[in-house]
Amino acid sequence: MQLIDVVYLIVYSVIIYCSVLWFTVFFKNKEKMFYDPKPKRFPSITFLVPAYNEEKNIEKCLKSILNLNYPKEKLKIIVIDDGSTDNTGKIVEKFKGVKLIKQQKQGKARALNNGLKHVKTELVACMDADSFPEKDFLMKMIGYMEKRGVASVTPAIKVFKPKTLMQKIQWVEYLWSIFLRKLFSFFDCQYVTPGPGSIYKTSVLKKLGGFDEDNLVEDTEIALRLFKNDYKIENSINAYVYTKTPASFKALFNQRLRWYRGYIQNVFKYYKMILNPKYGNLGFFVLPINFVWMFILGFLFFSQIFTLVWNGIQYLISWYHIKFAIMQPEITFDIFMIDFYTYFFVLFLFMSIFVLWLSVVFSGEKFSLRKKFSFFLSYLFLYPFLISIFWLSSIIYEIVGAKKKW
Amino acid sequence: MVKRRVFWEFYVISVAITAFILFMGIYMGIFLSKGKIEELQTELRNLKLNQEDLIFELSFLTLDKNVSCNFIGQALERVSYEAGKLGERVEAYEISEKIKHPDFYNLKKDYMITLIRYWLYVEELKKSCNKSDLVSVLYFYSNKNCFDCNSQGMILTYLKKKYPQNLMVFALDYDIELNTIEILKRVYGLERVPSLVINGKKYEGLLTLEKLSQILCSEYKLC
Repeated sequence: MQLIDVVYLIVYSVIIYCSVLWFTVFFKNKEKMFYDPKPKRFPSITFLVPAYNEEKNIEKCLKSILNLNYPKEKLKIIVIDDGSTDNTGKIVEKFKGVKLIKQQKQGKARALNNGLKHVKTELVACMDADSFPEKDFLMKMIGYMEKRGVASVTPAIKVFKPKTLMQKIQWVEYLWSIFLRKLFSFFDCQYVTPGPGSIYKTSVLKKLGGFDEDNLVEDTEIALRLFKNDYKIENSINAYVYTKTPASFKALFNQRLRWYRGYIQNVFKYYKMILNPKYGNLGFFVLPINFVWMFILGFLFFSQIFTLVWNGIQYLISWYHIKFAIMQPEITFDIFMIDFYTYFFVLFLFMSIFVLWLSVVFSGEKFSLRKKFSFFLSYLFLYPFLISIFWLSSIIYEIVGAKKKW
Repeated sequence: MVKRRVFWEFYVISVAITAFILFMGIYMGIFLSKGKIEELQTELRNLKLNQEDLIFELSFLTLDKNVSCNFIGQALERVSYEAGKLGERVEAYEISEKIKHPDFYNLKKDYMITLIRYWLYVEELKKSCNKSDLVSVLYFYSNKNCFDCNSQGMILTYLKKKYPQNLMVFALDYDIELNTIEILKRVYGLERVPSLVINGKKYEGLLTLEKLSQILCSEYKLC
C-alpha cells in the first residue's frame, strides 16, 4: 500500500462520514421536512429591494410581492435604486405605495442599510430585484418567527427558467441546496441567509447594526453575526423564490469567486467560532469540515486530472506506436475488473443519485428522467469539476490577494 | 436568544455507520482478492498440467517426427495463448490490488518459471522439428520506471494478433527475484527494459513496429 492509497482512503472516509452524518440528520427529521408552523398572527413586514439597472426584472419582482397571499395593509415595499443608469426608477415610480429611495452607486449592502433606516415594520425581507416569490411565500415562513430566539427565516430558492447548460446545472444545484439548507436548519447550522427572500426581525437587524457594507457576501456575514449573537435561523422548504442565475461560464465564475472568497473572508472574520462548542454544530463541525473539504476538492481535482492526463498520454503514445491500428478489445466481465476502488466508486455514484432524487422530491419537483435527464447527467458529471475550479480559484485569488471585485 | 449545544449523538452514530461502511469495503476487497488468487492458482494449475502433457509429447518425437511435430505445434500455440491470458491477469492483479495476498508473489514466480520452461520447449521443438518459421520472443518488462514498456507491450500484442501461429511471446518481469531470470539476464547481457530476445538475439530498448516487423520479415520470413 502506497502513501497515495492511504490518502485516498482518508479522503473517502471523510466523504462517507459527512454523507452519513447528513443522512442521519435527514432520517431523524424526515417527517418534519415539509412541516411549517402555522402563523398565529400576521406581523407587518417591509420588503427591501435593492436594484441596480434592473429595468427588465423589477416590474415582475414588485408584482409578485404585491400579489403575495398576505394582508395588504401589513405589506410595505421599499426599492433602493443603487444609481441605476436605465429606467429602473421610472418603472418603480409607476407602482403606487412602493417607496423609492435613490442613492449614488454604493453597493448592495449600503442600499439595504439605507432602506433599513426607513423600515418601521416588525419584520423586514430582502428581495433581490431579479427574484420573484411565489404566492404563499410569506405564509410559509412567518410562523417560524413566533419561535423563541428566531431572528431570520430562509426560503427555498429555485432557478428561474434555466436555458443554458450552466443554468441547467445550477437548477439542479439549487434543488440540492434547498434540501441541504433544510437539513442545516435541523442541525442548527445555517450560515447563509440568501439575498433573494430571507426575512429578519427588524429590531435584531437594527440592534446588530445592519449589514456589513465592506463585505463581498453580506448575506453570509449577517447570518454568521446572527449566529454569533445566539440567534436562531430557520428555514422553510415550501417558501419558493425564483431567481435569475448567470447564463455563461464566465458570469458564473465571477459570481462564485465572489461568493466563495466572501465565505473565506467571513470565516476568518469569525474564526473564534471555529471548534468552539459554544457555537454548536456550526462552530464545532460545519466550519472546520468546510476547510477540510477545500483540501479534499483540491486533492481529488488534481489527482483525477493527473491520472487522466498521465494515462491518456501513455495510451496515446503506445497507440501511436502501432500506427493507431484499431484492436478489437475482448470485453467480457471479469472479476479482475473490480477492486477496492470499484466499491467506493459504486457507493458514491449511488449516494449521489439518491441525494439527487431526495433533492428533487423535497423541492417539490418531479424526478422526470425523460424531461430532465440532461440536467441530472450534466450535474452529476460536470458539477464536481466546476465546483472544484470555482473553489480552487477562490482560494488562489484569496492567497495571491487579488483585488476584491463585486 | 438560544443556548446552543453540539448534537453529539449524531456524530457518534455517524462514526459507527462510517466504520461499518469502510469495514464492508475492506472485507469485500479481501474477499475479492482471495477469489482472484484462487482463480489465478486454478489457471496456473491447468497451465502446468498442459505442460506435463507436452513433456510426454516431446518424448514421442523419436517415434514419428511428422505426426508429433504437427501435433505439438498446435498444442504449443494453444498453450501460448493460455499463458498470455494468464500473464495479463497476473499483471492486472499486481497493478490493481493495493494490499496483495501473501501468496501472490510466489504465484507470480511460479508462473514465470512455467513460462520459461515453455520457452525452453519451444526452442527444443524448433530444433527437433526444424521449424524455422516459429519465432520465440522473450520480452523483459518492468512495472517500475519503464515508460516504453506500455508501447512495447502494445506492439507485441498487435504483432501476436497478426501472426498467431508463428510468433510466441514470453513476457518476463525484469525485477522479479528469481535465479532463472538472473541467469537469462546475464546470458544475454541485459541491462535495461524493455528488452527483447528474439531467437537468442538481444535487442535492448524500445523496438518499434517498423523495426520489429522488418526483423520478423527479413530474418524469419514471417510475412
